[in-house]
Amino acid sequence: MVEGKSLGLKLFRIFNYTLLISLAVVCLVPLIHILAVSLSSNVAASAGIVKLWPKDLTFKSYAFVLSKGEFLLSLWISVKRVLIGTVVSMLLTILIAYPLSKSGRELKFRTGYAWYFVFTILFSGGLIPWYMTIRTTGLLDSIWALVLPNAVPVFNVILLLNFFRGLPKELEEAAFVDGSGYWKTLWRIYVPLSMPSIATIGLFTIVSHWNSWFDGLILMNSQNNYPLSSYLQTIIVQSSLTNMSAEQLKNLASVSDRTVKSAQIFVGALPILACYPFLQKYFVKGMVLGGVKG
Amino acid sequence: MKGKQSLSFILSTLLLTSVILSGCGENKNVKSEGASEAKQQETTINPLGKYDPPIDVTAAKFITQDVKYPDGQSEENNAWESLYKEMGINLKYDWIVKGTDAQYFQKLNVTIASGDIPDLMMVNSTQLKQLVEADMLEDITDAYNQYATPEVKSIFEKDKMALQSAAFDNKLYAIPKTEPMIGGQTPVLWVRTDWLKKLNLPEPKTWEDVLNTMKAFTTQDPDGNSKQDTFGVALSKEVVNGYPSVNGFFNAYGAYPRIWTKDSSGKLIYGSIQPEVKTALAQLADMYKAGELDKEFGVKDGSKVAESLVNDRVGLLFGPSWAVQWPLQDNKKKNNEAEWRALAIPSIDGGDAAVQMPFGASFYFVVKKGVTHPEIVIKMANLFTEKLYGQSADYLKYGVDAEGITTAKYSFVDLAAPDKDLKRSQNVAEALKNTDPSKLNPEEKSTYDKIITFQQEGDLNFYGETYQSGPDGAMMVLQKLWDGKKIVSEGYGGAPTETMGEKKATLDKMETEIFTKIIYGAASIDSFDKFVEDWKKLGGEQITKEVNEWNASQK
Repeated sequence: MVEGKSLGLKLFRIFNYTLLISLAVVCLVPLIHILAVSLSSNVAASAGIVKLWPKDLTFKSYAFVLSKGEFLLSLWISVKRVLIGTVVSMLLTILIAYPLSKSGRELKFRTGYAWYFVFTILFSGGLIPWYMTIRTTGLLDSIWALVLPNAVPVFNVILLLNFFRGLPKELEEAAFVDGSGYWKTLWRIYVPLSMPSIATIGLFTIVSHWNSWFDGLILMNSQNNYPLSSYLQTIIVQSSLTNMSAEQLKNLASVSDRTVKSAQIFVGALPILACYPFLQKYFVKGMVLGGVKG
Repeated sequence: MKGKQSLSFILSTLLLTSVILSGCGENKNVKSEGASEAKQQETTINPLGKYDPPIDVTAAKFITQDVKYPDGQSEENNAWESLYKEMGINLKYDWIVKGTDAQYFQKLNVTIASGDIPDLMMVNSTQLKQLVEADMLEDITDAYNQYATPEVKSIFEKDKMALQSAAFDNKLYAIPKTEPMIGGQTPVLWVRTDWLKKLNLPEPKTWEDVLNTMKAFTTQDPDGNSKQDTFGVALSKEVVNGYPSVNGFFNAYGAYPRIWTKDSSGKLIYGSIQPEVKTALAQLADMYKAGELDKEFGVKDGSKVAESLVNDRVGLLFGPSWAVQWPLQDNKKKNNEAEWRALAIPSIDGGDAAVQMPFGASFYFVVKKGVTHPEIVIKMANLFTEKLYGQSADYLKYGVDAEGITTAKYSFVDLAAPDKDLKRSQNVAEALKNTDPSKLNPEEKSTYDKIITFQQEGDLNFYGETYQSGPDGAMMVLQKLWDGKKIVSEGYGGAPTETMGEKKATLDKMETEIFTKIIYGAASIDSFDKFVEDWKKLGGEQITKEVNEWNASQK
């Protein structure tokens, strides 16, 4: 790094770093708090005295969570969902973005196709038709119900499409001259060159699959098929205390186990946290390049 | 994504209404298994009779978060499922939601809107009304009269409004899931007696005493840490209802917020807008000024307030009988010196205050129109009372098993007499006095055993049970009020009326806001009068009219 030249620059740097560090702290603190709660004893957690350091350190809740069949099962479903979902979705995204990145001369009705996709961003059928479609196609209660309905994220297609367009046309022409067809050009030239963008989109897809809980709740008929986020939703979200029936209120006693909940949240967040550092370096590049060039 | 989902949810709600209103006429593809048995059933009516050959029934099931299964069992394989199979009922679940009731009803809304409902399901009062209006439910009046056992009928004798709320044009469409509200939601005054002792205070007998105790708990440092960090009484952001609410505080003043009570002419009036509420609010505002309430109560929800309770910061709580199981038991575990006892809430006019009790049924079990055996839901209710309390009862199998797992929750239909919990306490107290548990039913026996374990071994896991249902417990206090007719029940038992559906949420929000402001001192106490006017203008008057129309139709 270059040494600070003027006082102004120094002040600016100090200010900059303080701001960024405090932002980072703000993001980290809730996570650390959850971790601390999950490692504390029950009484300490329900008394609310656990802040950022565990009180009465114990790994009991982790032992419980990891021995809990339901939790592990839903974790497995989530992993399956992310794997299948990301592969299917990336494949489709690439295959759609490539032709659409060509001009109208190369692909007839290009604008028509593009609008066809954009239309789905603007308008959707609504919850009930969505549900009925999935029911009639017989997807209910299967992993494909979580994968197929959102298999083409149009926003990602546009992102990738713009990235493809930003690549020098000469590369493609050179490939054609050497006798490569569209298919080969796509996989040999475009995809390797677009790794930043593809990694970014991949991360988007992974995160959205990992996080979405609503479809799991509505489309899965048995808890054994819930992905992790739907499962977490059912155990963590409590109905508002006002509308609870007496029976449920009494049950609060047994579900107020905050340490176990925290442990599950933490274990649930772990895989995605582990993913981030590896894909993050592409993140900024992928987004910016996709947007600026064009 | 989120935005899209919430938008689609709004759309779905609209659609749901329109689909239901338009009648769903095409819904006639009812399964007709066992049509031939129908005739045979008509000749012999046996309330607990077996179906032979077995019948198939589809259902949707809701399981609460806390339900557990013994090893090797599951939601589709447990004591109750086997019982149903023995009875020739093959339950097939279209879907199961294990979670919150909000999640269950969300999914049910989608199912109803898509027009393909299961034969049996649990609905809420709004869905019940919609389904009846759309003619999608079977009339079970005859089935109830013919099949219901005397035990089941006696439950609804005690809680007449529950059954009325499931009837439309004198036809019964559902079995209400009645709950023992007296132990569930009726407030008593919980006091930390160890703090009373420390400060040499008497047990509060009059309302004056209660107010003094609150003051002393705030200013005289009952926890002995020489810091001004305790409050007089627990209060959450919901103020009314919710947990912990100060409903009991209002009741002391003869005010009954958020419920409909009958006035002297038999008309229903809304509790929150009565002048007694104003007096109670003025007192709360004074207490807030004097530091006797948590300065931050306006942002604290139930679990946050529970933290204060567990942390020895509050010594008085207007709460239900089970408050001692959670969170007070955690307080006892954390600080062994803590002692909580339940007292009747004194009235400002002397004597015990009459306390409010909400309506006993919010969920209903219904049968889809066209099902060949509509009596099946009544048979299931019969089975529930029979297997838990009847002659062939096997409580260890169908109620609570030896390891303390509540197997009764696997039953598809469940219901309870309103005074069930009271009776249990009475019998347990009797048995404890004579040290003779032989006359207890299994449920009572389990309470008895827990209390004995606590008394002999000091097992704090049963502290809550002991002071909820034991001889010095909250139930005894409630029994006294019950016997003295000091319980004010919710007077409206119908589904939300039209205007309620549109306006109630807004009105409730307005109420909480203005109550909070008055207590905070941000609005003068006289703004209560303006609130009453606004409430009437913004739909309250219309709701009152509708509620009273319902009331008149019930006679």
